[in-house]
Amino acid sequence: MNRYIIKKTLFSILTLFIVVTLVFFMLRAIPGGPFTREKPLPEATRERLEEAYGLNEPLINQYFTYMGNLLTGDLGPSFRKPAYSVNELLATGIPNTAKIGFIAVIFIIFLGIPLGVISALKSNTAVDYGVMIIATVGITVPSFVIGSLFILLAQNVKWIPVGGLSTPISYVGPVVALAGYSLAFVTRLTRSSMMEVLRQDYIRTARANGLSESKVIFKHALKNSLIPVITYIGPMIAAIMTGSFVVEKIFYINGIGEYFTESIGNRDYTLVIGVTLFYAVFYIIMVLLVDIAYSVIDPRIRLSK
Amino acid sequence: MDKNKFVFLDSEQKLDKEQTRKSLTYWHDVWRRLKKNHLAIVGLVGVVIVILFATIGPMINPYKYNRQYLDYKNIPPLLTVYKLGDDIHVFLSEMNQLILVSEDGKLLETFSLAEADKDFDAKTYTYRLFDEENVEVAVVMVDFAYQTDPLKRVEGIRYSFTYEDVEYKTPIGKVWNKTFILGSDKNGRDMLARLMYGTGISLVIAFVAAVINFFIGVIYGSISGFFGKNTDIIMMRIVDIINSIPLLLYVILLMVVLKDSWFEINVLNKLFGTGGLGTIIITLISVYWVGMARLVRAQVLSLKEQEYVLAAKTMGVRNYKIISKHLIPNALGPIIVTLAMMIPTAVFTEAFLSFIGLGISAPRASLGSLANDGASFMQTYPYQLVIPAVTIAFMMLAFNFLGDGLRDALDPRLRKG
Repeated sequence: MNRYIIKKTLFSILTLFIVVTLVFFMLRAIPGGPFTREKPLPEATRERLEEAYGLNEPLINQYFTYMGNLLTGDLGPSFRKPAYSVNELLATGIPNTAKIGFIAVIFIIFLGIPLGVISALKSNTAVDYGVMIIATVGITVPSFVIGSLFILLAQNVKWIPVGGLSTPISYVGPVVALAGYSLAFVTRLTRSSMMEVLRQDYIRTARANGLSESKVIFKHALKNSLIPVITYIGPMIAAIMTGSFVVEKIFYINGIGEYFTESIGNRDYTLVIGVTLFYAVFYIIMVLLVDIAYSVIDPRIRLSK
Repeated sequence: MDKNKFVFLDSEQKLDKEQTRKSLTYWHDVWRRLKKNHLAIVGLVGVVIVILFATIGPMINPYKYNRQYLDYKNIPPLLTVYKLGDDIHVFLSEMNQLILVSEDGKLLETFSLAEADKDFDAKTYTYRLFDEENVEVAVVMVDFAYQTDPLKRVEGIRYSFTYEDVEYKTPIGKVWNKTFILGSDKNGRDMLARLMYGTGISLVIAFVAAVINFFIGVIYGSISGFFGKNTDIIMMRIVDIINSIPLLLYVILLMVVLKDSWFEINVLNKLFGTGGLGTIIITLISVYWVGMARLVRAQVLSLKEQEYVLAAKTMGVRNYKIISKHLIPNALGPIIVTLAMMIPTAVFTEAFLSFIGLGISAPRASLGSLANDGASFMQTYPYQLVIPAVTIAFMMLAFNFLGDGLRDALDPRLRKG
């Protein structure tokens, strides 16, 4: 078990290393640099700027310098926001992104799973159809459409602010837009997995032994039916964080997603790598946690490893 | 037993009626199961409608997607028509353009508005209509003071029309726009034509990406699964690494890297034309083949233990023949399901990219870029966002229903619910 976790962790670090390298060289392949503007800077100014940031050195040297700093946790200065380091920018952006992301995830787990269970228990009734219709709509309508419609609503209604995160009510739009797809997906996944489990022999045995219905469902069925849901939820949490930049753009939220789109446009190399790294670390940790959670929940998996 | 109770059969009935039924092939069986699934059929019909809309639609629709009618910008599908005098019907657009329309909603002509006719003190505009010989045939004064003047504001209307000294305050009603059925956009292009074109582009992107994905995924996955050992370990580690990068991030980075690069200008634009179509396809392919490769590998891993593979090997069949004749055909069910699900994913991702401004660029259009254009004017012209958004949702719904149905039909073991 421990060996398994250590192996996985080492592999994750290797992956991160490759991600950083890949992004570093990919960015340098983009035409234009951080100091190319529509109105060109004077040659001397540009050269001095590039010298100050070490951009005039050979690419490979820049790479090693960057990696060296990275090991100490320093993501470097932002090229386009000279007063700030990337670490500082991330520190201001992450809380906003994390807030809406966290609420969305809570929303998905505590609404999606119960809805799926109810739908499975009452399968082929009006309740089931109702839940499934809403879930299907959730899967088919893109988040930017939900977001835009919400903004439209906010512009016509006085008590919803149009953007930002100033009041509690202003969280509703971003969270709904962010959670929509995954909420619908989790509901559908829980439903189908629950129905699968309810057909198993051990459920019949449990019922035949005279267990109360609630015990059958919560103790035997739910636990087993959550396995595929957990597999989905891990990467989903990371995806919700990464998927947030459309939502942040629509709702004018100063989050990390906004930095990402902005920094790519500005060729702010260090900021792009910083944000990518944040997402990648987050994603990899989530996948790792799922792997571990998996082997805890389902002993069959541990045995086969 | 009494012998007379028995009767002879006539010769026709004599033979034991052979139970003949045409044997069903796998695909017949799939089709039979698919037909029984109503939702899947609804999905199939929806997909066919979308495809016909994008292919035959532009042939029927008289307007071209990139033709600009500068006289008619931002005209909505529903016109609020005012009847002035006995025979003049007019519509005032949100851009304060007065248009002469027919009674049933055809756009006929625009009124001209000279700078001198704008009275900013009284807040009135005087529009004039000229015929071919430049003779003035109608003069209409629009009074905008209803939005500002405290006395007039109580009436709750936005403007009134005065024609031949009679003031008209109420419209005769909403009339469907017969010239541009779905309205026109900010450059005066027909929304219907753009929608058809955009749907087509989205479909092309999705189909090309799905098909190329299919080939890469199947080749990669089957090699990895079939040869096993070190080949498998190395190939799957590569897949794992790609998989542990959040795909959307990677897609965006790739889009930026490819944009205006040598590769785009010299290869992609020649293959797919300008406007970023090729770039999106390449990006989608380079990211999403991973899922297909994993699936094929898993299938091949379990299938290669089957006796018929052993038999083929003993008979000396070459490896690539075993893969192409035995393994892949048997794994085709799940592969097709993944392929069917790949299409809505691609449409979604493309829409997403276009929405943040990285996708298809004008004058070409995709559903995502249409939605993006519409979103910026959604307060004044909500139809410009709603129309592409509804189309995306319809497409997603159709492909999802069909995909679910195909999964149930192709592999009953995977049947859900």
